[in-house]
Order: sequence, then structure tokens, then C-alpha cells
Amino acid sequence: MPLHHRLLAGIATLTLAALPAGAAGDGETLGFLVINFAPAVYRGDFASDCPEGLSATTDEGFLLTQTPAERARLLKPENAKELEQRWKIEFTSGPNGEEICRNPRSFIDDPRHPIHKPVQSKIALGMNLDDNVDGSATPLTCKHQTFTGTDGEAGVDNQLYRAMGCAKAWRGTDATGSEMQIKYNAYMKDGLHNYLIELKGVNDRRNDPEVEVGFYSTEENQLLSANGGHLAHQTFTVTKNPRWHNVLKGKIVDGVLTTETLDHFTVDWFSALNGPFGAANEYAFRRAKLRLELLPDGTLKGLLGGYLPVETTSAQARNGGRGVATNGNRDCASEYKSMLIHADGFPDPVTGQCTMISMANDVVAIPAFVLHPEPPPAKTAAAE
Amino acid sequence: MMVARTVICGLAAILLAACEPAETETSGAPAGMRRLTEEQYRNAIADIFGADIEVAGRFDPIVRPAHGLLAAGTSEISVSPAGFEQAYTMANSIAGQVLDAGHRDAFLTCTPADATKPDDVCARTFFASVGRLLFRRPLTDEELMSRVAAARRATEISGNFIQGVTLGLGSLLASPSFLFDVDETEPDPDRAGQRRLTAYAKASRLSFFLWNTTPDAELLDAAASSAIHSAKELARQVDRLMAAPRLEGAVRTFFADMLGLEAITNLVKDATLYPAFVRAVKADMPEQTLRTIVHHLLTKNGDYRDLFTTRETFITRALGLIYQVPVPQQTGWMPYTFSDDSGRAGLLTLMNFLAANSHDGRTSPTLRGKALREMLLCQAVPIPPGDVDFKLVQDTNNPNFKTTRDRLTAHRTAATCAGCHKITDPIGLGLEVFDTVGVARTAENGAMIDTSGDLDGVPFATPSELGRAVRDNPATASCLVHRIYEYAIRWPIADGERDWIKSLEQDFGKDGYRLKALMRRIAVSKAFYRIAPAPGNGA
Repeated sequence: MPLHHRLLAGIATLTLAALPAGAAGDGETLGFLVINFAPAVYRGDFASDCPEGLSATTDEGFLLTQTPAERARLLKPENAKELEQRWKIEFTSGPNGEEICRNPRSFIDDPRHPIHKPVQSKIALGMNLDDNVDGSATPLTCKHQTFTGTDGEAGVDNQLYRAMGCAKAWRGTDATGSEMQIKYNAYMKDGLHNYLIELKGVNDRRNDPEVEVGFYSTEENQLLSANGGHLAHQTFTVTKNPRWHNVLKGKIVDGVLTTETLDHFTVDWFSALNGPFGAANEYAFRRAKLRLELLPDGTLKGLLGGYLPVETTSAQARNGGRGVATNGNRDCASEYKSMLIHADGFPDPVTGQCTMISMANDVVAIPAFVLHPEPPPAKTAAAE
Repeated sequence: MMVARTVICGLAAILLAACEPAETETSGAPAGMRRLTEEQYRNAIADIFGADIEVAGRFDPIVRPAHGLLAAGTSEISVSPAGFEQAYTMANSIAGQVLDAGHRDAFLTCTPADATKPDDVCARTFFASVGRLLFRRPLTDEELMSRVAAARRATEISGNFIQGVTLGLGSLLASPSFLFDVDETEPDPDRAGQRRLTAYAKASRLSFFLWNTTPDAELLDAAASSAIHSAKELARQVDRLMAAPRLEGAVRTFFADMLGLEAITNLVKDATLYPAFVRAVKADMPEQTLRTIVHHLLTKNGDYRDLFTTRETFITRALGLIYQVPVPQQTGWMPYTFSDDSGRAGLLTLMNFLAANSHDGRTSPTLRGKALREMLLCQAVPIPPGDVDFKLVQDTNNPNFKTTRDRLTAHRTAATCAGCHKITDPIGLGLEVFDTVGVARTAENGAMIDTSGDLDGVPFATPSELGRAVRDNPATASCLVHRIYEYAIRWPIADGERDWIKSLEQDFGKDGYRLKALMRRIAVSKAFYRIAPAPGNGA
């Protein structure tokens, strides 16, 4: 038996041994560590995607609020200190001194922070989340425009991309990735949170009508290579917190795994800071599903689609506070407003305003050993 | 000269209901002095003064003799001026800690009449007590009085008794009598005209062998009463020392020496080609080997030869990267048994051997074969000539020579290379299914790897079979006996000791190749303590 087959058989044996009887079907079990988990940004033709150019950064937004004469004055080198003071403090403070990134709602009526320029082209990364190709309203969605997927899929829902895809921090300036994507992935390297994928009952990696897909959080950190790269074949234990266990039915067709929709799909976000059972910063998707390709080198690559609460989506900026607006030069108020206006899922029953926004996350995962925690010992009469 | 083994069944033996064969005669090793290793120094300080005393400083390196042990190198080294400066600085630092307010009550059992004035009686009591532990024997009057005088003078200058005795303690710690284990001898009452180790020197030799540290109070007491010269008391002390957990430390030190683990510190691998060779992996790889050895030889009291076939080892999360197996325990070490079809069995297939004996970016069957011959079979491999063309061997992208076997086979066509490579490469090629850092592989540049070969005429097809061939090779057990005896006496084995070593090898086999039995035989033997007559002494 080839060595890699023996290794996979070993993984299957060990993982199965840790599962409740009957939980796994026939076939192999494959484990993966997620190494890329950031909002997917399609970088098509810039002139088509963002015909009005990139959205304003914080300093640019400030200058736009000034008269041409005042702008010219502030841009003189001798006034650099005043300019910095004004855009970094004055412009990022709300009516009662609120910080722009921690309290973006306080800027909701502030005309100095308009919504970002939306993506206007028709193509995006993502999936059809509402099974509705024309974007008309449904009981779970508000009326919205849809995209065509990069694979030709119609009715792709990715309003987060529409809202943010022309913002510099999200789009970046070249194809290598944006500041936001780099940060999102660095969070995992830094051990703020990590995710595991487990495929069970895989009889054929190219075509299998029924597999089970587990997407879990883990509190265990990665070992990184000397140059900071990810390393395959590490062992991780799934979190004990059941809220961060997501199990979906799936199938593999021509090497592409797709799953059913899971109504609640929740993983942790910054659990290293907030504690293993904290819910304050969960990444709580609704109506989520996965589409992942099993590549010949053993990695998984694809997307996680779903709806995220606007409040959660803006939490990444909130965690960073004013520094996101100043050092990161991101106008958190404009971001927040853009997300709200493009929100397309889960309308508020009273106002009708949608509270969640469709999106797609890039997912890349490398082989790993995924273990499940030992179940807690059964209580005995004596122990009680 | 081979001396026939004779059997003495005397009255004493009858009373003991046993009839032991007499020990093979041996010349013994010359009396000498051995510098304490860094580990021995640290152990001694911790044992005498407590583990919280910090030892901060650098130690002169010990040079490994060609084909020998570092332990033997301790008898061939002096202290450099820079090394003495370090020793002196460390001595004063340690003395200051021992006599600070937090520690002094444990050692300074007397109180000076006036803390600002000299107190020779109190100083003498302190130096006699501590000096016996540091010098591993009582101080001579001269040694004692010189420290008392120094303490007196320092106290007079400083107006502080503690500062005075601190200076005296520092001079004890910087003394050659502490830094070196000296073979002090006396006339041997049982061998006219010969000399033997003094009781204290005998205690030191025993303690450094079995505990890798200075003798404890009980062993020093046995030396003080000369009881250690009796076979019965010696056996009792040996059994006491061997039953203690400290034996493990000595065994670890011995195998670290035998396997050259000190070289791991400077081991590097190409980070681009082998990203999994991270710091944690590098730190764990020698420890895995040592844990495997200790578990097999001490915990299980197993057959030494089975170290080359056992699939039992220990593992960490970091090492799981290399072995590509799941490791349930998140931190620390856990027992692990390689599966039957893992291709791994024995020390040769552990990462340490594989990675330590490879180049930065490619494997080296030659280095692996050489290490096996020299470290584990005690067979010296000549160094290569200076004008060897390595171009062909180093070109791992040559489409005509896809595998290392292909390249080495072509390299060996040169007559100047063939002689050495034929004793190293066939065995090293048996481990080619493990890459430069020890990760399993089946092919190289798309070509399947052939691991077949032979070890001294014994064919093998897999790494596990190579391990079996090493296990069954007579040189394997013989090598261990040579190495551990060299480690015990910390001196290269002399020609006059060959017969004794041969008999020890036979006894090792009779004992089922158990390390503990072998160590005990050495520790209770006369040969271990025998001193060879000095040259020109007429003996």
C-alpha cells in the first residue's frame, strides 16, 4: 500500500475511533486545517468593477469635505501636522466624541461619511444563497442585485463584495491580496482563531454522492515554518464548544465538493482573546454552504457562502478601534453604512430592513489530523 | 596478554552458595585527571547547594577524540585562560549566592562572634564541611588553612565576615581540585608494588559513572571509613546508586555522547525545501531518541539490540509533522508505537539519526552509513581524500541519475572513492525512503526508491530489515560494551584492557544484553578502579 494511502488510512482509523458509534459511514476520513479564511474579492477589470474609482480612504474622505482652497492649504507641507490632527481625530470622532470604528452607528446621519462606491460589474465570487436567480425579495431576503459567478452560476449573492469591492483595503491594489485579506489570514497564524474541516465517508475523491462535512473551530495553535508558512500534517483537536461544530451533508462531483445549506453555521472569531466559550465575536453565518475543490496536492480550495449580520461583519473594524480608521485608513462609518444599505438577508420584521448581508469567504485548507475531544466522563452517583 | 579465566571456589564463595568465575585481569587505565563537564559541574552545584543556585557562564569546549567519546576527551584537556576566567567568575557568583541571606543558614552552621570581624573557628568549620563536598574528599590542612587565612584577610579589609568566607568559598569553587576529578592513588595492599585509587577517588569514579555527578554524603562516608574498598560495601553502594532515578541522567548523558547529539545544536536544513524542520522539531528530535533509549533499556530493562527493531517510541505534536501521524496530546511527550506498515522500526528510523546524518538539502547514504559504522558498530571509516569531485553526487536534478542510489553508484566508479563508499553506502541506501529531515517518501524525482542492500553479508530490503541486521550484527553489542566502558573510565581504552573488555562482552550476552546488568558488572568490578603502573615505574 503506498505510503500516503497508509497515512490516510491511519487518519481514518484514529478519527473514527474517537467518534460515537455509527457516526461515520464507510470510506476514508480526511482532515484539513484552514489557512485562508477571508472575504472573497473578485478582481476583474477594474474599470468595469469600479468605474468611479476606489472609494475614499479616511484621509481622502476628510479632504473631500473641505473647500478646494482649504484642501490646498492643508496639503502644504507646513500644514501636515494640522491635517493629520484633523483627519485622524476630528474626522473620526462622532458628535459626542464617539470613535468611528467602535461606534459606526453614531455616524449614520453624518454626511461627511458617505457610502462606499459599489461594485458595478456583473461577476463575483460566491454562490446562489437564496435559490433565487433574479434577486427579488423572498421571506428571507430583501430585493437585491445578483451577480454571475466566475463559474457561470446565475443568481450569485455577494452583497458584501458589492458594498466593499471598491474599497482599497478590501480590494488591494494588485492581485496578491488586500490588506484586509492579509489581516484575516494572519489572525489564524497568530492563533486568534483556527478552523478545521473534516470529510467523512469519502469513498471516491472525484465522485461521491454522499459525504459528511464537518467545519469546526479549534483552540489549538498552528506551528509555523521558519519563514512563517503553514505546515501540513499537524494535529488539532476540535473545540469542545458545540456551538462551533458545523456538520453538513455533501457530495463530490468531478472533484468538487458541495454541501447542503446549514441554517446556522457558527465559528469563533478571536476566541483567543475572548475565551473559548465567548459568543461576543462569533462569526455566525445563516443559510451557509460550502463549495470546495479537492486538489491533487491534497489541499481544499473554494468558498463558504452565507449571510452574516452586518454588526458581525463590521466587528473586525470595531476590534481595532480608531486605529483602523487612522493607521489602516479605512472609513469605518462609510463601510458600515455601505453594508447596511446593501444588506439583503433576514429582514427585520418591524422595519423590513435587512439585517444580514450575503457574502462569500475564500477557504483554503491543507491536510491535517483532526481529532475530536474525549467526551466528558459520565456522572456517577458517587460523583454527584 | 590473554590471561586464562580461572575459577576460584574458595571458602568464602561456598559460604555465599555461589561459585563466581574470577575477573579477567586487566592493566587498568593510567591515573589521571578529568575536567568536569558542564553537565557534571551543574549537577554538582545543584546537589551540593541546591537547584536554585544559578550557574551562569561559558565552559571551555571538550574536544571529542577521533572515533571516541567526549567523556574520554575530558582527560585530554586543560583549562584555557579564558576558560579559567569564566570558571573564576562563576565561582564567585555561586559563592555569593550560597552565602546570601536566603541561603547561608543552610550551609553556615556556626555564627561568628562578631559579624564584622574574622572568626577562624567558624570559617574553618564552614570550609571543612563544604570543601569535602566540593573536592570530593576532606581538605588537607594546607588547603583548609589557606582558605581560613584568605577569609580572615578579606574580613579585615571589608569588615564583613560573610564577605570573607564568600571569598574563601569562591577560591574552593575555582580550584582545580573541584574543576577536575583527580585519580588520587595509594599503595595497593593486595598488589605489592602497585597502586590503587584512594577510597575517595573510587567513590568519585563510581558516582560520575552512575550518577554523572559528585558523590553524595553516604558515598563519601563509605569512602571515609574505607568500607568502599570491600566488595560487599561496594556492591551495596552500586545497587543503591543504580536504584536511584539519577541513573537515568547518566544513561542519557552516555547515549548523547555515543550518538554525538551535541552536533544537533548546529544542525540546519534548507528552510525552503524542508519547512517542517522548525525549532520545536529540532529541539525534540534528540530527546525522542533519548526517551526511546531510556524507556527500552531502563524502564523495560530490554535487550540493547532491540533498540534497532523496536517500534515503541515517544512523540510530540511537533514531531508529528515529520512522522505525519496524529498526536492526540497537545503538549509534552506521549508514548507512540509505529504501525507495522509505517516502515519505521528502531533508532535508525527515528528522525534524529536520519536528519543528523544528512546534508542541508539532500540525504546522504554515505553519512548515514558512516554514522552507523562509527557510532553504533565502532568501525572507523577513513576520511575521503582531498581531491574528490562531488559534482555528480550533489546534482539532484540530473535526469540521468534520478535517485541518490543512481548518483552514488556512478560516483563509486572512481577507484579512489569505491573503497570507503562500499562500506557506508549499501547500508545508508537502506534508509533512502526517509528524506533529509526524516519524512517518509517512496520516490525521488519520480523514480521509485530501492532500499535493498546488505550489512556485512546480511541482505535486507527495507529499513526495518536493516535494523534487524544491525541488531544481529555481533559488532553492535560489542560496540556498546566498548563505548560504555570508555564512558565509565573517561579515558580511551588501553591495550591492556582488551581481554577484560572481551570478557565483559561475553557477560553482556549472558545477561541478555541488558544495559543495567552491564553497568553493574562494570561498577562492581576491580578492573573499573584499577590503576595502570606509571611508565618507567618498573611494573
